Amino acid sequence: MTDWATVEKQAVDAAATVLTGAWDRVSKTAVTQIEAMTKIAARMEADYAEQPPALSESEYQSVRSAQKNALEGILSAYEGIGILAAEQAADAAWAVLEKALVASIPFA
Amino acid sequence: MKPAFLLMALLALDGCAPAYDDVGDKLQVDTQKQIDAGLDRLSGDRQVTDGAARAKSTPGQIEAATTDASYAANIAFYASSLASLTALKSRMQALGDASSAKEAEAVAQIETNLTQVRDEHAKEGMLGAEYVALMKGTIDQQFIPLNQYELQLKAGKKPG
Repeated sequence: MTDWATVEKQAVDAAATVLTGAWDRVSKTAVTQIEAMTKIAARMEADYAEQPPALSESEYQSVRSAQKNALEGILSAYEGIGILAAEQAADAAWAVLEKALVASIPFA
Repeated sequence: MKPAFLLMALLALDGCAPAYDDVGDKLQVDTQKQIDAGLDRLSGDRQVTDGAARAKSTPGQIEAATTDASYAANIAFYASSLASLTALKSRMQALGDASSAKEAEAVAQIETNLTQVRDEHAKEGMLGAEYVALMKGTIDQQFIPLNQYELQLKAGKKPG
């Protein structure tokens, strides 16, 4: 099973790297959101271990996309953070989680 | 308007907290409740059709829950919830301050996620209970900073 605490820290670092300069201002909210994303990724991993998994591939793709939208929306609500930077930070954080999921979910 | 005066006006606006909008706050709370209620009902129906509650349900209850969990039975829920999100976004944009306009971007992403649920439902006909639970959790999480924003405004603070 994945060490999700380590993955979460790496996801936070990835978002922080993209948002250098604004990170201090957004970190509290962003970390909370990345924690929630990590819990969902862990739940998806656990779900896939159950056969048959509860989530279909298309539902998985929808949840995955929703996680990125959620973080992007939360970050872009801050003044001084543009939609592009928010999108890049959300992509960077989710890429870390997805890299961990690939090991256990073939269509991740 | 002279550029120097315009700059001073903009600086003054930037230093002020946006005004608390009780209509927008109520609309936001109502919209979240509306989405939560619809997704909870959907999740409950799926528990009856396919989940833990199936064994304790009568054939009639299973049939009714199957109908209620279909896409066709939920078209009105999606339409009214998405309309509420559009109204909330418009209200925030109409307030005219930069901060509220940025909050509207967060609402737009809730709209995107609920649209995804609707589209998945339309494509599959039925949604899995786990999928509904994960999407409801995600959308609720998206409302947290918006609710914090309103609470800060209500307390007369400038949101961070």
